[in-house]
Amino acid sequence: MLSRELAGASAKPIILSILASGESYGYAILQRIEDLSHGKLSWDDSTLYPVLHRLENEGLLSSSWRVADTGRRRKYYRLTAKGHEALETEKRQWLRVDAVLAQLWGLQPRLA
Amino acid sequence: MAFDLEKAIAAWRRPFEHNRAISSEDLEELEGSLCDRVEALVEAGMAKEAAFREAVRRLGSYDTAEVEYRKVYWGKLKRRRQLLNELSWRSSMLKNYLKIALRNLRRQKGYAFINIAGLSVGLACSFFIVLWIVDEVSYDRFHEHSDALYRVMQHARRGDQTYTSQSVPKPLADALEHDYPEVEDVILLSFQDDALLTHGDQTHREEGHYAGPAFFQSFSFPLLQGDPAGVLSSPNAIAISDRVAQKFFGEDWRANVNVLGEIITVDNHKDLRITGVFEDVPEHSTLFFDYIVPMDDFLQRNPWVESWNNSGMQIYVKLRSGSPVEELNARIADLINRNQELDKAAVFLKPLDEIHLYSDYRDGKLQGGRIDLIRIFAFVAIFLVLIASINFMNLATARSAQRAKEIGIRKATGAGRGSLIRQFLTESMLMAVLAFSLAMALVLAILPVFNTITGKNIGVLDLNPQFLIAAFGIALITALISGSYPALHLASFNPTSILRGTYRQVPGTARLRKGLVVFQFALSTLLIVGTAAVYLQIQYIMQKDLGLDRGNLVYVPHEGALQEHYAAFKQELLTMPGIVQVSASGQNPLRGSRTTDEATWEGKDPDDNIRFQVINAKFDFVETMRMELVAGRSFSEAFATDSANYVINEQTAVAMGKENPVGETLEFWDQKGQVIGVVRDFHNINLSSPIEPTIIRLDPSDTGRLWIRMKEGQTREGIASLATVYGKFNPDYPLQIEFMDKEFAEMHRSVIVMGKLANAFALVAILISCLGLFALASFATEQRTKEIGVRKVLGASVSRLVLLLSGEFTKLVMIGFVLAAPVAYFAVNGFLNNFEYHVEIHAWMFVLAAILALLIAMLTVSYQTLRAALADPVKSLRYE
Repeated sequence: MLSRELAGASAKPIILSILASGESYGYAILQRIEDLSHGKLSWDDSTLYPVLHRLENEGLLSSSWRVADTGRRRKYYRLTAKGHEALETEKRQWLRVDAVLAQLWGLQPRLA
Repeated sequence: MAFDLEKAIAAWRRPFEHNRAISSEDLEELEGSLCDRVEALVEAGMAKEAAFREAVRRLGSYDTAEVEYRKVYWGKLKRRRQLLNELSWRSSMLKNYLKIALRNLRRQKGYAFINIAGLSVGLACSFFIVLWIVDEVSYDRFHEHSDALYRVMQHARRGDQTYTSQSVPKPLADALEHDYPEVEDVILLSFQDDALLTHGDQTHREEGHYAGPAFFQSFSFPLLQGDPAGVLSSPNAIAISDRVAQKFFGEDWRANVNVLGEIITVDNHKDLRITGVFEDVPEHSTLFFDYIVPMDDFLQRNPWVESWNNSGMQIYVKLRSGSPVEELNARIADLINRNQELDKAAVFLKPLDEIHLYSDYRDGKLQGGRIDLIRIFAFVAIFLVLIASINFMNLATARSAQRAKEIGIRKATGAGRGSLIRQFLTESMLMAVLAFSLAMALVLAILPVFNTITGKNIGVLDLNPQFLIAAFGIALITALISGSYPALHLASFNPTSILRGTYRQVPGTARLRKGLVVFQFALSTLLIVGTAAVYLQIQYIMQKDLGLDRGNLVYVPHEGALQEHYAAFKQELLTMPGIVQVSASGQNPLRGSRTTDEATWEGKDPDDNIRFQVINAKFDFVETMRMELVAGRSFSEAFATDSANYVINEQTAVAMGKENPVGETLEFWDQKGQVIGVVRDFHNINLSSPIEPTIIRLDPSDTGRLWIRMKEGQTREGIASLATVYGKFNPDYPLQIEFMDKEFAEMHRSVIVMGKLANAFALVAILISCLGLFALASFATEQRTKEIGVRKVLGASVSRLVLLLSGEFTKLVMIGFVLAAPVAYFAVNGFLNNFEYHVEIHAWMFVLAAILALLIAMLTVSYQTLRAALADPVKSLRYE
């Protein structure tokens, strides 16, 4: 498991990046994270949704309720223009850190 | 026990439901997520209960959930509080600005009052002008189809002149109706007539028209009783107005009586049945009437109208929507020419809603009309607002020196430039609001006077929300613009130099202020000169020798029994006190209406096509009018041949090319006669047109007007005599006396109104400029108090000082005058050229205006300068 700080810091870029490729709802996002990390990262629902709400309050996401064929309502989230900008900023910062660590650990830095 | 998913979820939900930080939507989202996972796990093969438990585990404990949701919740609350804080801060800043603004106003009551007064007077005047313009522009727009209604007119060419007229041949209507599908309706209308209407024992003279059957359907004159389609379709019908119905049947006729079917006797000989009652024609209508009768009767009695050679009808058309008017105009232009040989005329359609404003045609071209007046006054409105704004700017920047300390301290204690600008703008806004309220109060107070001068009927109801919003907008924009310069100027002061006391006003500001004063007085000069020109022109018109004496001259319609007993009537009237002379004519010599171009004489060039005015008259006409004979004699009963002879005016002699036309033959309308006399040219039509050649002939049959000349100073006796004799000879007809000079004044009414308004506005402009000058002068002298003290001590005399102090201002005023003079000259020239006969512009007028401007400026400034010059120098030197 990730340390709390790392888990908290990585939540924003991960969510923004997932939503960058299209709108989605909470459960689907959770599934995606599990798939991408091969099960290594698994978030609680109750920690994901508050983050989504916070990002929406900050104006990075916008949401709308849709009715699925099953009849159940689902809340879909998508990136706003501000959200796209924020994603770029996060990307830059993470890659900067990654470059330093890669050099220190003698690994190939990810191409920016 | 079987596992109940629903129950399990309900149990799981409970703690969440009571949490304030988790909304019902959030819970719905969470629950949905749970169910999604349960479904997925069940699909993957897990048992329902196991799946549920796993899903709950993966969801996370309630405690962690609570913490996370609460964090978001508090974040939202914090954000809201920040917004509210900012809002309350802003509003208290605004309150602060207002408090300081009010305090400043109270401290500088004098300046504030002058500023607000000037601005509100300027605004009030421009509001009046706006009201007036809105009123003028709204003529004829009340018709439902106003944009499809047109008046048929013609440009008729006679000789080398083109006359534009709405009098057209009746067959034109038939042609338009049958051959042009774009024309939906054609409405024939006679020229306005008046008739005697009698019902029971009441007789009233009313004005009205003969009209074609489509009249009430095409125009929007709503019927209170009667059917628009059928009202004019039967012969012997008449439609009357509400006002006339009230006269005959009482004010509450609608409740008591069905007037349809009642009989009205017209001109004491014809009985007509009322088929309709229409609402009184509104004020803003070019057409005005109190009765309408069917056109057929007129057509039957006047078969001459059916000829293409004769004009004498009005025709209005209603076009189908979407018809291109220009194209139609091109196709109908030669309709008259195609159908007869004599005249050359171009037919065209004039939109109904353009008639009131655009009716001035010269030589076949549209020159403008009332719209010119509107444009002039719109300019005046803008001028006045400009002058008031300049005042505002000047005073605000002039006071800046006194506020320098305040500004310095505020800046030093941290006020940003933005906050200072906002402060000063708030002060401007406050004054604008006050000025606006004052202006509206002024408008309401003076509205009745305004109505009297302009002859309008603008009511309080006309100050509708749109007007108020527009007016407030004007005030606000004026304040913003006038306030922005001083605001920026004041906000840019350097605090250190202010507090150190070394602050000097940037020379640029003084220059700008001077420039503004110059501009202000230039505008005022323009208005003064303009007013003077209008006033002089009016005097000129009113006093111009018309060639006949219009004073002490009255006329009555020559009708009824008078026509048969004219000779006896005249004889008896001449014996009565106060009467000098009696005669009759077919037309008002000042107006003219009968014309001919068929006149021939010996030696006439056959190609000449000259139009002559013709006046049909009885004996003693020339004497009653007091026209001046310059050759020959006038008609006399001693000569039997005079019934075929003519008296001409000088212009006719010129047209005939004869220096001594007396004795020459003259022939037209199948009557060959001799010229027996020549009168001095008298003005006919009105002073806007040149005098036309006129021929007077005896025609006892066509004499619709009886003229009576009263003895000078005995008008009352004269009228009494007239009433007595008239009542004796013509009892069936009410006596209706018109005064010739009143009619003349009516004709020139619009110029007179314009003159009065111009006077008023020029005064206002001067007043505002003087207010500004006064305030500036007081400020300037205050600034120079120390200097004046020093000069006095060194021995300067009071007069020296006064000259010194006021010299600056008079120089500015003179510069303003010099700048305005050429503009004024051109403007006045343009205005006067509208009149064929007008005052000449002399240089002394401008000199007078300059002296006037100078005097006013000196007077305004003198109070301050004198006071300063007389002040005790000891006190002045101690002045801080």
